[in-house]
Amino acid sequence: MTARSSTPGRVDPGAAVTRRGGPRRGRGERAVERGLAFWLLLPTLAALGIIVAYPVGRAVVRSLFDDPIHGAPAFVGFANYAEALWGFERLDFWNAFGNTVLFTVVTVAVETLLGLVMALVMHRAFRGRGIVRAAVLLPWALPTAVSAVMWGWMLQPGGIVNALLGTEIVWGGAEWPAKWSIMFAEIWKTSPFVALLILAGLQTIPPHLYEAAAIDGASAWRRFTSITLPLVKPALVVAVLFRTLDALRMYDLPQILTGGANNTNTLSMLVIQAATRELKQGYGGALSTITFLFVFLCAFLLIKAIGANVFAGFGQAEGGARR
Amino acid sequence: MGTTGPGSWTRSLALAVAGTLLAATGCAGSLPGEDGDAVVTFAVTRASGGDMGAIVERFNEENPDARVRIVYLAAGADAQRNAMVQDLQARTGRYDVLYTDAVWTAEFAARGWLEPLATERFAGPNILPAAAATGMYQGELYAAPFATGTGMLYYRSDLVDDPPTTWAELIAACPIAEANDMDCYAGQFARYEGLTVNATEAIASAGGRIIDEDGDVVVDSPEAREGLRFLVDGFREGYIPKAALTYMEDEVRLSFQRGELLFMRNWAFAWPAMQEPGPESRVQGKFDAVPLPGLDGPGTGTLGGNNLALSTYSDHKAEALRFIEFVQSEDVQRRWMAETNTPTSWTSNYEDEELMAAAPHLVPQRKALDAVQPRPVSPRYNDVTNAVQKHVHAALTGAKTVDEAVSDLQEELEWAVKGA
Repeated sequence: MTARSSTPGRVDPGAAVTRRGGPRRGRGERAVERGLAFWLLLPTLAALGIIVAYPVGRAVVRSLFDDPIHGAPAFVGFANYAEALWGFERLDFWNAFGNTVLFTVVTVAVETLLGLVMALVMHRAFRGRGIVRAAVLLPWALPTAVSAVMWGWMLQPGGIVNALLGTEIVWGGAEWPAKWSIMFAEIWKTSPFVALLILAGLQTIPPHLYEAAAIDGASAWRRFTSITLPLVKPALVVAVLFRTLDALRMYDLPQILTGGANNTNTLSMLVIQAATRELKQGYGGALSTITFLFVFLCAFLLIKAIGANVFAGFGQAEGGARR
Repeated sequence: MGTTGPGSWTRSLALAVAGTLLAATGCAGSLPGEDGDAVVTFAVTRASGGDMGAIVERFNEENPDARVRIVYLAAGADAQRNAMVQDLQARTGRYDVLYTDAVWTAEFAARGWLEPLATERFAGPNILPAAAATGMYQGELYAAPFATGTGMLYYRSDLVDDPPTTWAELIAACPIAEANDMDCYAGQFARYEGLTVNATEAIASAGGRIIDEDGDVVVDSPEAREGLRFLVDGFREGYIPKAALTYMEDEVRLSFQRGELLFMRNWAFAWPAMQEPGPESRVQGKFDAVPLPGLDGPGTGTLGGNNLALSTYSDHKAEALRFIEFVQSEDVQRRWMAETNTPTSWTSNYEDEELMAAAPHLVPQRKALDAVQPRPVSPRYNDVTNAVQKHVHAALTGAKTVDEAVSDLQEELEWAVKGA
């Protein structure tokens, strides 16, 4: 951001401050400051090393060893990875992979649309707006485990969902009802989060842009597509990015709602199953490394595809707003 | 490269860090509410059904030199096992006596976490042989039998005169359910441990096995197919309601006590819950329990239960063994049975008339305990039960045929127990 906004022709308050302070300081002073900065950062770096780098590194190293019941694990190279990707466990792995991708794509798409609508509603000034905002946020405030148990009860064969729909579907009794109930509960729970992020974006759009557009005779639809959408896009992208990464790690909701029955396992569920229940830390480590790489790849591609031009657009939007 | 555990320097670093953190919070190595003089720690689920704290208190009064402190673990079996595994893997010896589930014995013993126990002292003639079997692994006793139990067939005695002893008789009684606008039969068929129990019982009741005494996978047999077919046909033909695909112990009990089921497979715990006066149960005095039915005659239940095991890493083994002996004793078990109305392992208590009059369902339960088959015994039990649940559930929902499910299960189990 800072690098982009300090391009010529644009005023950057941060850059100006640095420039003003610059000439008064000597080179040595700056070196001292840099040394101090290093020492101040050191505890944080050490803490991160212990709680992040070391465990992740251990898991990756451990994934190269097998899992005997008794005795020391032996080095097996990438056998655990081969096992998951094309070995005996491939069916379980690719089913879980497919489910994870399906859940992510469907829920993030629907949540983004719903979240946008909810944010637009919450953004308008009307009587009782506070109540609507609170009501919309309620599902997000509930712990996932609690809402999963709640949905589990409502989706029981004699539960309220069937009573309201007038159906007798056994939601946990077949593949697609089970998958839809997971996706529905996930959408219900996290749309408010998306709405909240988008609402924050909407509130940064200066009202005079709409006033000017209205004077120019732009229709409501035109104002939405030409002002709201482009200016809210950065917030939208952040929301999609957060939600995608989150959904790719989905665990608690399907675990409690279906326990993986009817082909609803996700990658994270396989990791837990292998590493903590079956005590196969090597195979579990391989699964979690694969999951980590996949999530990382998705994040990278998302930022590449939609992130870059949006962040550029963000800078322009801010510049425009300031003028 | 032979070792993968953290290297010695990383281990000491981790210890140093953990030690500093603990010292800083002023609770190094201690547990909240701890009994400072205790020498033995007893790790037990907080949902054991009875008052374990009272047992420990009585032991402590009589044994001031071997005081026991109790550590309550989570109610869920997975969480209990996680807590124990973490302690055992770290070799801390913090938990001396473990309240283990019957199906953990093989794994914990194979990993070298449990101290072998003297068979004559902890599984002598006073102990039900079925309960003793759940503490055995490869011919040695690793856990002292305590709570036990097997599945029973509950039936509505106001509607059915002669309880069925075979599946054919059960199915033949289903028109009674239809006439009363009820469902006929249900057990625990959600995809969780209860499904392994129900599948094992169905397969055993037709004369089959999943894993035999030698640890070989033998599920691909005509008997196992026959047993599974009873359940699969039940869903297809409707004598088991589709809703049972989501039932665990409590869901099926609620359905039965609301008067929606004619027959139910459940454990002994359901009896007192359904007899309790009040509007919650509509079946007080209208039901009874018998051993499970089978293909050609009485069926075979499988065993649930909890045992008392001694950690290899315990520093106070003699005291811990005295405590195990105390908990297992006739008197403690009798009180436990009177308090919880659930079966335990001491044989002579089933002849106590006062006790049996107060909990009449324990009479058929005792009978059922003579014809039982343990769940598959394997140090890779979690892999085994996961595979059983996956393929059996797929067969019950119709995603797979019985033949496909059984041969897929055979293949996956062979893979799972390999090298175990």
